[in-house]
Amino acid sequence: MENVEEIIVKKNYHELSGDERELIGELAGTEEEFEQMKFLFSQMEMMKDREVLEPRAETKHSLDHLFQETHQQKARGGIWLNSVLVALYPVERPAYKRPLLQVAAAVLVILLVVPLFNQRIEPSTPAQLAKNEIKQESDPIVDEKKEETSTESSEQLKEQQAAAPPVTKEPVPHNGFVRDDLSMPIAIDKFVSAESDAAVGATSTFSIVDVAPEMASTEIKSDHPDGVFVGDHMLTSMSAADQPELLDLLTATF
Amino acid sequence: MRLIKPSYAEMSDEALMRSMRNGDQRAFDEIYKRYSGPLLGYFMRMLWRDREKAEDFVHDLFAKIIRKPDYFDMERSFKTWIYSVANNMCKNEYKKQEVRKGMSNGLDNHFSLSDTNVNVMGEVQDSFFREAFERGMQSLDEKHKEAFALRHMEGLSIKEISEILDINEGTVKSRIFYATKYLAEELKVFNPVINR
Repeated sequence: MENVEEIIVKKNYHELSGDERELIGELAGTEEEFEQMKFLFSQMEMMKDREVLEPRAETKHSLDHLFQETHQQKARGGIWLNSVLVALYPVERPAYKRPLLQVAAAVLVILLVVPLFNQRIEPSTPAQLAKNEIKQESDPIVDEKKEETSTESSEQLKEQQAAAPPVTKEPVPHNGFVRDDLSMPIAIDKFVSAESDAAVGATSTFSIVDVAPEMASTEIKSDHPDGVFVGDHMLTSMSAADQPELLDLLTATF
Repeated sequence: MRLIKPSYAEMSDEALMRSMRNGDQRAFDEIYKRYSGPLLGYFMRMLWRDREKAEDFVHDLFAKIIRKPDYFDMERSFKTWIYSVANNMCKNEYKKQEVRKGMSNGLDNHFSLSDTNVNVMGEVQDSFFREAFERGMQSLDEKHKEAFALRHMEGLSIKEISEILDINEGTVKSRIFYATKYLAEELKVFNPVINR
């Protein structure tokens, strides 16, 4: 219909193509009808241009008054806010084009991402760690044996402790080199005691305090550069025959 | 991203209605500016060129919009909605006049009123064509007149008219076709080309 009117207004009858004549045929089959239509449409256009009507000012005043009465409360404080809301959240636009939602999405992304950069790696507390509970399946036979050996060993230990004489500590003059129980250098002391035990088959531990109490009480000195000689002159010059225990020790050692 | 609100002149009718519903008077002013003139013309054509009546109808229509803005469905086109309201108001007026006519002495009050209306005649005094056209329009029955007026006076599309009148597009075309043929025939005496 719109096309038909456009053709009639814009073209003359003799300019029409076959298709156009066919299209407008129902409304204007002949040239005379075509001209009638053309005249009518052109006159109506002129009338529309001439007739620019405006309602009276009183009508608008009356409506303004009515509007203010109806929206009195909103009109007092809401106009500015309404403008902001319309600007930020225009309902006619799709959701992703609404500024308020865009800003909210940006803030959400920032809130989610920024803490990741500021996060410190803290040692995890025991409560946060996974617990690995390994259940040992108990073997009854092994358990019984263990119990037996543990009771036996504890009894033996008690007996040994009761049998062993109490170790007395003799005061040693302080010279910057403190030893509780010293008769010879530490390494030698241990070595000698182990060897002597093995050789003699003794169960008790060897102590230089028992063997040579004078030696133990003396201050340790060594003026010799290689440190072979230990103790003072009196002790080193003592005959081995006078000290049979020491002779046995030396024999077993070397 | 557009944070600054567009000017009211750039806003769509529907957006203006939303603002107006929230109490924005400037939105109402813009709607009034856009539609008051065309609606006044429409009412004048549909109501026997009675300007007083047309003014009253314009006032009543906008008063309805102010009081009950929720009547407008935001999903619809405002233009088609407001013309459908205007059209319904005219139909109600026709019914009212039919009742009055039955009670009157048989004289057609409308033609007598509009024809003797000095203002209307003042507007069309330089055009016999216009007078004849108006007579032709008034002699059309309502359904043809409203379809023709909406199409050729208000410039609405066939689709919009079908929505306003709540009829299918084929019927709209048929009514416009009939009214056009009728008026062209009535007014051919004014055509200088044919009468040459």
